[in-house]
Amino acid sequence: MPRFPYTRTSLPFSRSFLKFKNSPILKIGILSDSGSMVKPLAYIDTGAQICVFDRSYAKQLGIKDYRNVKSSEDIVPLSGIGGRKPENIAYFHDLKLVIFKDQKHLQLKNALAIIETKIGFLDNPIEVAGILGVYGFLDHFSFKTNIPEGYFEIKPLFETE
Amino acid sequence: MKLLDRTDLFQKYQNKWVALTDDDKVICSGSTLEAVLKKAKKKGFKNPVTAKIPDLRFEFIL
Repeated sequence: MPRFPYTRTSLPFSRSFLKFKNSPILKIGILSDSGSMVKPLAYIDTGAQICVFDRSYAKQLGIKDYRNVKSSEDIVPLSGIGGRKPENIAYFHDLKLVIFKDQKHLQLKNALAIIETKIGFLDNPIEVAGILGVYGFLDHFSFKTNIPEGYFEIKPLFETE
Repeated sequence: MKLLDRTDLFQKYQNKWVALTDDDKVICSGSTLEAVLKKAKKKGFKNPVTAKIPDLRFEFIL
């Protein structure tokens, strides 16, 4: 099963229980039908139902207006820890998510999986480039995490491209 | 497997966008994705990895 290291960030001057952050981060690809690909650093979030990214990526993928979606179903209001409803709005587009086996060689020929899915672009920026949630990412893999030993594993459950 | 320590990257570039090589070397940084892609292209990197580095003063709950 492909194994990836947790990203460790040390914060020596932080609170005693927050001196180390351990984050499941992957370098991924988002691929458009025209063949454009962006390669964001994305956070895996098992509690998020969707995959969402900063709206700036839409333009790089050839989407002129990220709010111009196929159907009203593709507009999803979001809420979260901030407590506002909605906190943000995501606009979903049909794209491909590329998960790379080798995080130092990000080429399509090294893809562990290429998943046709819906990816949302956010009205308001968040702290990171993007989040990988359940639909279109975690529902395609067995995902095992071992933070004490510093790694997570993902194994494709289905054949993709 | 060893943890991947990205402390230096996260501390130096918090609140910024960065462009990285596939093996995690910083190419450039800036305040927007467009700006870092433009700078990276000038340096010969057409399609770098890009990241937005969070503000480390805050706990980030998704």
